Amino acid sequence: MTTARGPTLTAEGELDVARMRRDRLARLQAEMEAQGVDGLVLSGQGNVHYATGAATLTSEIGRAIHEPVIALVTRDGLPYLCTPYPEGAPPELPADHVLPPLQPEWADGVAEMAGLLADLLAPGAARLAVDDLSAAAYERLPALLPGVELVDAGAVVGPAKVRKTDDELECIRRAQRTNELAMYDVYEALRPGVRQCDLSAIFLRRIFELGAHANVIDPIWQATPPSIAQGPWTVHGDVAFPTSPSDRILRDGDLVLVDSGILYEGYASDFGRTWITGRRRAGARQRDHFLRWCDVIERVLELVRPGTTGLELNRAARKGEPDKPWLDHFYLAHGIGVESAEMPFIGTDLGEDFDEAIVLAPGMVLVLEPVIWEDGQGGFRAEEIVAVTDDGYRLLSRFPYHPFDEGSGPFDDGSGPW
Amino acid sequence: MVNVGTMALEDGGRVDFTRLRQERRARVLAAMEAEGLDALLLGREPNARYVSGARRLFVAGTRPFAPGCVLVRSTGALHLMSTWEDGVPPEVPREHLYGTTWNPMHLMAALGRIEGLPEARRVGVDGMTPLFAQLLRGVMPEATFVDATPALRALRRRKTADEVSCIRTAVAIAEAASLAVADAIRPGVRERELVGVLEAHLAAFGITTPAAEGLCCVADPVTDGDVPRLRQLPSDRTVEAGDLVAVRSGALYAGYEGTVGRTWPCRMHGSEGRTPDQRVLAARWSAVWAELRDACRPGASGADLRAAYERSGEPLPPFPIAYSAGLGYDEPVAGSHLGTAAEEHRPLEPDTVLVVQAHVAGPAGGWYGAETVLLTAEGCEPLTTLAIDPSGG
Repeated sequence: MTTARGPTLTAEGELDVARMRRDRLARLQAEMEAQGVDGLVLSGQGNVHYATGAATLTSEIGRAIHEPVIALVTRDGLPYLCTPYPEGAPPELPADHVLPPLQPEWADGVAEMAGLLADLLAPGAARLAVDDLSAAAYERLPALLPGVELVDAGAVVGPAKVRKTDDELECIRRAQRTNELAMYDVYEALRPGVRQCDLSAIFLRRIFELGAHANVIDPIWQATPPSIAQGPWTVHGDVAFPTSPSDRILRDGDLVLVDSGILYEGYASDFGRTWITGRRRAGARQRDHFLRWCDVIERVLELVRPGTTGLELNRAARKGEPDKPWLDHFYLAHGIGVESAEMPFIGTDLGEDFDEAIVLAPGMVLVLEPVIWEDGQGGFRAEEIVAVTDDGYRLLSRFPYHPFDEGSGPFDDGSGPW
Repeated sequence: MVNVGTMALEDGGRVDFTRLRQERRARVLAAMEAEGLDALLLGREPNARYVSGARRLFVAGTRPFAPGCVLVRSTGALHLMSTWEDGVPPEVPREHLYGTTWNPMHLMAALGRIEGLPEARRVGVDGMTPLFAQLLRGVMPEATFVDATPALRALRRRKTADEVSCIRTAVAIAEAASLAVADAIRPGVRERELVGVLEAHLAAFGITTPAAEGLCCVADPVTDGDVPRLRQLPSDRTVEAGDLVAVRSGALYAGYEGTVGRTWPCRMHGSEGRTPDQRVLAARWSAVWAELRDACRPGASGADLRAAYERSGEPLPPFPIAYSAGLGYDEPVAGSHLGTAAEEHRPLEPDTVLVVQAHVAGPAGGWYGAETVLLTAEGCEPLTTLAIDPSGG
């Protein structure tokens, strides 16, 4: 577990996972100090990975709850890891920091957890941050830890995570590259009559051949009718996306919205493209949607550098578009890291003040996911991942726009990486 | 006996999902009555799925609590966080859907509009965050929030006939995927590639959601006196000739878990099945399983399963030896880190489905296996039909 292994990817960057763990813990503990938090109890798998680097079993949520991996972080020193998977503990954790799993879903398990916290927290500890509480812990923990205030861990973990180290960026890039490489095989299979689950099978087999560590979401191959009224009813009248895959048979000309996410060394990828079943050329209207999408991306990328606010990106994306060019229930952009969507979020229903408070800084990562939709004619959706650098950005994603670009995509002038 | 398969049959000859949802919801409403719960606010996906029957996109692992499913006792109405009706059962009307939101105030406003919810006094929850604890008090100022999980656990433990049919189907698919992995085991394959084979085979049945990724791990030898350990996290380790590979294959069909565990030797193509040492390991595993199977009967408890394991003379493995399966992993029933006191309060009841697993090890490697069993009025019926040692010839 000390070093990332797996097949060599092209253009491999440097990655030192031990250094990555040290840097993350230092950021987390600095944030605890700044916010007067004495202890962190983390049970979200992304948060546990961020705090400890521990590997866990990817599973449905029932198993994750009942055989949980929980991290306890104090103001200084190495974290404690309560895990059913000791083989996933990083090597720097001494034996007395790797503990048997806790059972916070049960009353006696909560009592055991409280006892452990009382042992590990410094005397007089007053503020404990948690990311999630079982109902049993919510009921019982306050009485078991008198004088301790329970606060939301998001306020500590969010700011620590938002700016990535170079090692973290390399993990995201590798995750994305692995995801993209697998998609070449899937794209080849996109013929009339293929089922969504057939595409999933090709994808899942290939990501593990290529060195992915886990798949974390059902891959989405959504056949999307050209008008909203022909699709599933929605509460807001916008396009329904993403809906669950099944054994649905994809048919000639189906507009397929693709989305997937895998993990590499705990870091997520986020792949988004639009394909057309059986077609290697897009129609004129479809190509127009794509070119408008490219314009949105270019307007946004022009502004991506330290100091730009989320609101400036939001306004640049909307400029000249009749409606906001993203889905109403989502966003123009989201961060990515140990979670497939994390801070910063731009263009959500949190509003303009929220966007304005987001100021880009080096190390932030944005997944841009504009959507162009012309009701009755369909639309175009794709995602690109950029990391903010000292004076601009660099792309962490690179996958063709077939069948829309026809060899004359927006970056074919050499400005893009492919 | 259910006609196991995943296609819809025009005579309705497979699982009746309408009846399945009705029976589950009737149980939940009866339990709310008995527990004096005015409303349920559920965030854990298996609980929300049990109550609502909503087919939602699979996302792995844990997520912080958020009230995504609301059941109000006074109206009997179900309200769901869903931006669209795809995947929502037809008995949930459109006006009972509220969209996903990033703004907790919008979520609180949506909850405040649910008929009967603001007046609720005793509200069952299955999780909480400090932020929601604060915000929900604003929507339901009179409410006391209580732990609904013991009541939900008791309900979910005993399966209806339709639920058992779903689990049988899941087991059949898991067995098929397990054999596909066995075929892929050869010198030089990496453990994670085997996970890919497993998941691809599940997907070929229309199942894009595994119950758990892995375990496809080389079961390492132990020398005398050591506690047998078994890695559960697949890695980039290369499988070598002579290795024993432990494979746990779990599928979710309509959300219901079926799991099978088997151990396969990695050997040269065309060579004989097992070495004498491997045969001894398989026999030791079978002896543990025979004890466990006898102990799987109603009226017993998790502690009896532990005692049965210990009677076999093998040390307990460092993972649960039995858990209840339903909409995924229901609850651990017996195993090393639970403790005997807790296990005594894990009753084995008829209509419960258990995944029972055991692991033995010696100088030749480890031998792991898992069976899915249904507890009946008299004893248990194995739902797994794959031979215990299919590689034994």
